[in-house]
Amino acid sequence: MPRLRAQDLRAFEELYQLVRPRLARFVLNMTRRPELAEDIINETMLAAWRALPDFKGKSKVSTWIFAIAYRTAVRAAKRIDSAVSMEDRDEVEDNADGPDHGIETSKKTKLLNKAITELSDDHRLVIELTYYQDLGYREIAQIMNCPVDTVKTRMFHARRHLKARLNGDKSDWL
Amino acid sequence: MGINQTGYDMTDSNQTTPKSTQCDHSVQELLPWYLSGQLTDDEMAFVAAHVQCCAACAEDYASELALRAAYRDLGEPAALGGKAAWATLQAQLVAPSPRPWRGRVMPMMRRGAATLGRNRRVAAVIGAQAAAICLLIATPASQPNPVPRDASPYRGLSGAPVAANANSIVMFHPDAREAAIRSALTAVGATIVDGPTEGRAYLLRLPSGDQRAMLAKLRRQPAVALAEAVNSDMP
Repeated sequence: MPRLRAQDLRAFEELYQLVRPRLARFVLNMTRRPELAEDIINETMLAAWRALPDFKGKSKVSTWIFAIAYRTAVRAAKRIDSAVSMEDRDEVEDNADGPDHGIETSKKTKLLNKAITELSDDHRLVIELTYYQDLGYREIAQIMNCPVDTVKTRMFHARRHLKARLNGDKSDWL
Repeated sequence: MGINQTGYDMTDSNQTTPKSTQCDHSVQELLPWYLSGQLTDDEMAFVAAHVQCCAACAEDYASELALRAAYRDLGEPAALGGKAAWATLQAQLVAPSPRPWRGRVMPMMRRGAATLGRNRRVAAVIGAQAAAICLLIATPASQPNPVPRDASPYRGLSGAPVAANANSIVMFHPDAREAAIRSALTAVGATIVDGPTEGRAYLLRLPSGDQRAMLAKLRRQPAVALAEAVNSDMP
């Protein structure tokens, strides 16, 4: 950590290589726009680099970086949403086959992907941070800058939605 | 209507109405993080005890396990750029901030002082290197007796905007000696015109000619950690 705070470039590269795969997945899941993700990751890591000397260490570095990425992605989404019509947005979502785009999907995978697509950005993000990134609700609250009860509620409703959508084909995935 | 020992109304086999609000909220909400072990010890114990004696929550726990596993099986999203991504970012990290130089001087000095204060050995190495490089600033690398402009590890940049002449940026390995740095610069006829930046990079002026080739040659020098163009019409 002292090397990072001192903006040691090699230490930062190690951090970058460590956090990048998870960060890429996080940003892709949040934006669902691969063409934006690389810029958001870059902007995030650049902001982290500049802020490192002031990092207080009150949270894990990865949580801190995810929080920066969340704010960066929200800003990027606002910029894009103001420039892209809802029709275009729908087209993007319909064409995206979910997180496993390009991989042959089974019936249950397609069902789950479709259900995930129907979630709001915040609900989808809480699912991703909990199920895949293995973060606790307190860390998620830090990242999304919201109360912990909001995280729990979002997760509760997101799970309920997914289960309701999958319930018709429960035997296939349970 | 019958209430079983689990506390749930089981009258309708397709519906379970929670009798207890504790079961409805506290445990239900915590289940996802119980699965991943991301709860406090007290919360883990609380959920574990409840799931053992509540059939409905035990069932929910099982479906939660299945849902989590299905989600994790979805696979990886489309791959993004690999090594090239770090190279792009690295160039941005060491490039001068778009903010005006003058506004960056004080924060840079404060951070530099703080860094130096924390690690005396690193301070000595970087300070010595910076002082040595300062001897080369604004002086053709081939000139034997340059005049130092400033012997401090971090340069004050309130003078003339010499950085305007820069067309590339370079970083040297922390352990690179002055002779090796001078040799690297001489190899391409480069002149250091300013620096170090907060990322310990130096602004460089390459002579006119094939600057792409000059940068490539510079990158091959043992003392050089990074060399990039800073103007848009270069590689």
